[in-house]
Amino acid sequence: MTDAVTTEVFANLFKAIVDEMAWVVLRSSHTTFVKETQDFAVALVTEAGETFASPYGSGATTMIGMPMHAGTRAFAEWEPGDVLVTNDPYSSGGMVMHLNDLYVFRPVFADGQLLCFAWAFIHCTDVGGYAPGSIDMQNGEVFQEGLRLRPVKLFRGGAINQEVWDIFADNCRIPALNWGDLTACLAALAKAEQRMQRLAQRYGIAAVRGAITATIDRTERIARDVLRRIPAGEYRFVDYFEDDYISDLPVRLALKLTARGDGTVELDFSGSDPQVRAALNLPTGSMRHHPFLSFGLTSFVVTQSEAIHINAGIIRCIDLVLPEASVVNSRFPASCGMRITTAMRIHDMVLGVLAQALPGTVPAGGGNTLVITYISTSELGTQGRVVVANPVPAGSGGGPDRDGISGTDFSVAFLRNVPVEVLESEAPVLVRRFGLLPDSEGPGRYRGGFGLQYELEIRHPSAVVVMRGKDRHRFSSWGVAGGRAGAVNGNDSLVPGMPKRDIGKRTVYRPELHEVIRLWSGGGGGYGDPFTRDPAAVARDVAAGLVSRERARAVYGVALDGDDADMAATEQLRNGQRAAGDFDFGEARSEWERAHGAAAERIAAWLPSLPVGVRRYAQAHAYQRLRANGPGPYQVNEITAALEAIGSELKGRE
Amino acid sequence: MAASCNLGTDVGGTFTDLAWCTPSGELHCFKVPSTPSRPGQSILEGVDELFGALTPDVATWRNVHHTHSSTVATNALIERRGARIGLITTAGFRDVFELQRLAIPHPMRFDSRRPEPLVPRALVREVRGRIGPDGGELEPLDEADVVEAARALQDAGVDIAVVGLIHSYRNPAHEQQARDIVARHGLRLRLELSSEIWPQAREYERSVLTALNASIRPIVEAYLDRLTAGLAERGLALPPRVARSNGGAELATTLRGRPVVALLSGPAAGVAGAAATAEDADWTAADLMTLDVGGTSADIGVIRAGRPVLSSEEQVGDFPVLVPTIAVSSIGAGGGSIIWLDPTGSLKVGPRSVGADPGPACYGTGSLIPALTDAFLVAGLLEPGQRLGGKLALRMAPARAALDALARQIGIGVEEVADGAIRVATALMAAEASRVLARRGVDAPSFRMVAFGGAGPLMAALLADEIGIDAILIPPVPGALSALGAARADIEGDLVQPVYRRLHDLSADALAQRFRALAEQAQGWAAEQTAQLPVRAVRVEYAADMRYEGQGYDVTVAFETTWLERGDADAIAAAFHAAHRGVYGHANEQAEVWLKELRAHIVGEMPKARVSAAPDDAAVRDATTRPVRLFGRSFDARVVGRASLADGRALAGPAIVNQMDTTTLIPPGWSARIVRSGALVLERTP
Repeated sequence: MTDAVTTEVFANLFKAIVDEMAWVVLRSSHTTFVKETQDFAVALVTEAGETFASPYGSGATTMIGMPMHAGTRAFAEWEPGDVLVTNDPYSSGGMVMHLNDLYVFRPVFADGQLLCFAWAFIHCTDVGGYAPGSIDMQNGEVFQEGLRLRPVKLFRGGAINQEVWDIFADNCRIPALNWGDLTACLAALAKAEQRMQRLAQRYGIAAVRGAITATIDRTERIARDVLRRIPAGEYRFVDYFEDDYISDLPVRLALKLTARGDGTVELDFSGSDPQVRAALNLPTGSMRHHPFLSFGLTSFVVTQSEAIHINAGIIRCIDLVLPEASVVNSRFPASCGMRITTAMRIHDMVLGVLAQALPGTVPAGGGNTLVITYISTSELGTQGRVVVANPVPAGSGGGPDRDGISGTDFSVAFLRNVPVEVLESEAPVLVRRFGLLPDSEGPGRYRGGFGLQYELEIRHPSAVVVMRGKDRHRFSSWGVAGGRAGAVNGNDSLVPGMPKRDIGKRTVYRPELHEVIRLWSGGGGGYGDPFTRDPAAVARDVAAGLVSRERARAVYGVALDGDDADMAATEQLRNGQRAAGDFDFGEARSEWERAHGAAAERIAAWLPSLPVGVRRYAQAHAYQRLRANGPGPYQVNEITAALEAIGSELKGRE
Repeated sequence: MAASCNLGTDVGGTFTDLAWCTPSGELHCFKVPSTPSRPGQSILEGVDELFGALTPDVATWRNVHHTHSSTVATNALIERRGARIGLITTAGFRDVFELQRLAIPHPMRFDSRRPEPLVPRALVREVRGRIGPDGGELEPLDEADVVEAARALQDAGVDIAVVGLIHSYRNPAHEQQARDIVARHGLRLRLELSSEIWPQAREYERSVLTALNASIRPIVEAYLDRLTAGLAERGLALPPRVARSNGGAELATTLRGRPVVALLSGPAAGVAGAAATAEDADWTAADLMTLDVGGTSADIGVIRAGRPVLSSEEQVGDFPVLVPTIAVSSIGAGGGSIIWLDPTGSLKVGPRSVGADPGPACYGTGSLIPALTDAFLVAGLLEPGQRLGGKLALRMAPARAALDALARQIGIGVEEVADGAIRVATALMAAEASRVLARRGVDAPSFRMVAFGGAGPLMAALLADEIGIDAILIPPVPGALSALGAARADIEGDLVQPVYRRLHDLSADALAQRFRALAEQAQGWAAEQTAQLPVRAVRVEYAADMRYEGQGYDVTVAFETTWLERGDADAIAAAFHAAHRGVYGHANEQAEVWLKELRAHIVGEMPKARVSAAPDDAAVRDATTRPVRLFGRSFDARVVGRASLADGRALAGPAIVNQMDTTTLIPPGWSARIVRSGALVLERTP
């Protein structure tokens, strides 16, 4: 066979194997999080830890291409039937990214030779720790987030190392369900080994090895072809978490994309904030390639290719520069439970740089948050349950030629909801509403998707509600090319006969019986000037009850006559009005930047000169000092003085 | 009742097939052009042609059992030509169709979107009132809301409103009340209740199923009315039956109310036909994979122990279909699939297709877009001058020219491109086959294959080599298998009854009582469906979806009727533990067991003669040879007409067997012979 044929033949055969693995996990897993929500993944991985086959129709897509050498090279010796397990970011060098992800590896032997590895992960609904579900945004250290297992062999030559599992089981809230999910993964790994063995038998080990390499190389070449289209140059984008859950200080993320014109792209995160005492940190182990920071580009490559087998070939073309001990490259023992929030933000920052580099190819920023809700009755002991009670994403950004997606966002678009009829059968809640939030979209020629509103009534006195991943309660999604920002997220609760309560950003909430928790998510940003939106499309949104008449008039400049657009009146409304500017970041962020933007740049440049342990402290105090001078914006000399004062105060302290 | 003739029809996109079986097993097939603008007309034209050719006597004709499958509903759905439907749902869930299950079809593509909802948001109305997860009423249904919703939808010109209320599968009271309220207020709006269409949990999937049903109902009703009248005019006295997606048949008079159970009947009948053909060839109770390769796709199905595997996870377009359906999986790799190069010079096949117009380059219509059929021709699997499915004679020059463009780009020969494309297509089918079998929890090497469709028999042995299958059956009429499947369909129906109780909280009496209710329903259905039919036997197979308390997933457990009659919870629990162990490798005998729902699969067995096909008349010179280049090897293949193998002699590969509607490849290492039923059986030479 010529290479032109071999690679395609094997790529398809490998893909069939990972699809089968994914199916085995789905069919025989136990928890709602895996079965309904589909937070799991499988892959075939080279000895060097590169993914060469990955399903992309089921399971999580965010981790495709994850460097796995920390697993495949964890032991010098492997024998058939070994299974490695780990959930620890810090002893796996950033391969695992929070404790809820249980990774398993199985070496695949053919004819006594190690051929490759089969890999799977499941999101364990609970791995112990302070909060049911293990993640609280306010966790400051990884120790609060559950039990850690460094890479260990759970099976040796097919025999289970029971003590290891017992320790794990004793330290989580739902050991039996976790074991059920794990056995589903083990079955998938065993199946993968059988399948690879058959290929080796039929084609010979050398041919299979050659095809493994060729499959990744080919994907890399396709990716380079696409990435070469980005005009050489540097493109910058900044975004924030509006606060860090323990203070009102925003967390700033800075990105510089450098296109070299040769199909390699560098993502430089220098200037991003120091690691924080909240579950937002990305423990990326200073890796040069890492899918969590580049999956915006991965999706860009996939979107721009007619047919591509998705594997580690894509991230080979994406070099990362990750500042030490920062929120994008945290050091032990920084907490990292809800690092998906950070990854999502970075996904959209990549859209932000691409919007500048190649206008018209990527959507506007999405609502860009994902609140994962749980209901826990774990205090009932063995009778208790921890059940995922839906992911609540915000809407996606509008695209260059179509509206955004309502109720989910590109970075988490693989997640499925839990049917109300399933959820209510498994957890003591009554879902009062799960639907779209009208008027939440970012207006644009192509509007953003709408956000969600979710209301659930609590029907057991021991139930605890967990809601993690809240952000964008003030700083909204961004619009582009004249498109506008979307609405923000929020939540509150109603106890019969009492005034509304604001739950704020707390993760764990103890409701009263029959209390109704209400969460809502904002919409994605708009793409293009809303005054150029097709009036008929606006009229349809109004008729659907998604956009109010007032908003149609004020924001889109569309006058309605009954259910239809009044074209003459619309023309008059729109006359001469055009949206200014390119990006719209919404009022709250714009206001914060007006006052603090210059200072933020200076502070970011200054922080790396300080010892790691004091950086976040120093940053907070720099703003405190500045604020004592007034509401800003701050002058260069003010900023310099503040930083010098803090510098001398902290001198010599680590 | 005297044995009768059976007629089966299958309306495809281009042709309508008819299969006629006599009680002694004679089989006659007819093919007429389809009439997409007048659905059903082609069946009537085919019936006329058949009558003219066979001239059956009046008594025979009056007693013909006839079953029809059609794409009329599927096409209407794909083209969104269905009825104008609305949705009445529980307050808080107006967006059930907008949100679907949140995920988008291609999560990594910025241009991916959910399919357009079946009901636009403007035609969705909420009503207050709530049933809880245990079926208890938490809040009464708000009558005023129902009236207002129904009136608004009626005013908006809605033909049928779907009523999909939360937990109605547990307790249909509110849905039924809604119907009463609408009637009481004199509203004309037709309602379709989700609890009647298929009472199963998952509000989105159940409501979609109901909406699909409502959407196609008027079209199917009109189609069946026309068809029924036309057939009656032609003297077919017995009522027509319609092929269902479960491979069985149902009376047109009852199916018109629930046409959603027939949405995937075409591909289903093909798999059912394959199962019947295997039985004819003495492949009794076989485990089989079916391969149907046509112009645009390769369809793969699974048969276990002689019976097509049913699934509740099939899709129509982008929508889930909860009712038990013969699982057929489709990939874009057929004779018309385009061969192209990716930016790295890798050879690709499909999923885009040249379609019937212009067709592959070898059709000589002037198109130079290379398709898989061109590769078949250049590789020597097909012959210049050969006609496929009554179309144009194949021409080598344009096929070579089309492939040559690719050959130059990657710097290899034209033959190598053709060979490479066939290898890639084989790999695509192998990948899909292993996915499909994996979904059924089985493995290819323990299976045999039935191959049909225009290019199925050409690819079958290549695919079998790739996935480790050792025996292949090519039916006598590989081009009309869906029609044959319809002709020989049993009467089959499915029922589901929600239980949602702890098994041991059900007394023996309560269990037996639920069983009797389901059994009565099943017997009633069977009696209605099999009246006037010479059924050999009616059997009802019972099963249940069960789970351990607290788990979020079910295991389907086959029941023995006696367990239910006696209300024997212990036997049921034991069967569940065993089934759980079978799927998951472990069981927990101490844990509480839940019985989620009882299922009944009803089969009215029709008498079946062993079919033997009329002799094939493809005029091919015997014992010529043709150079073939395949998988990097060149060899001379003998080329024979199928009729010349009628004596049962084994033909060793490499060889090619021609017949009117297909070409079969017997690669080196395989041999073929015609068995008693007229089927061609390929076996790997040991």
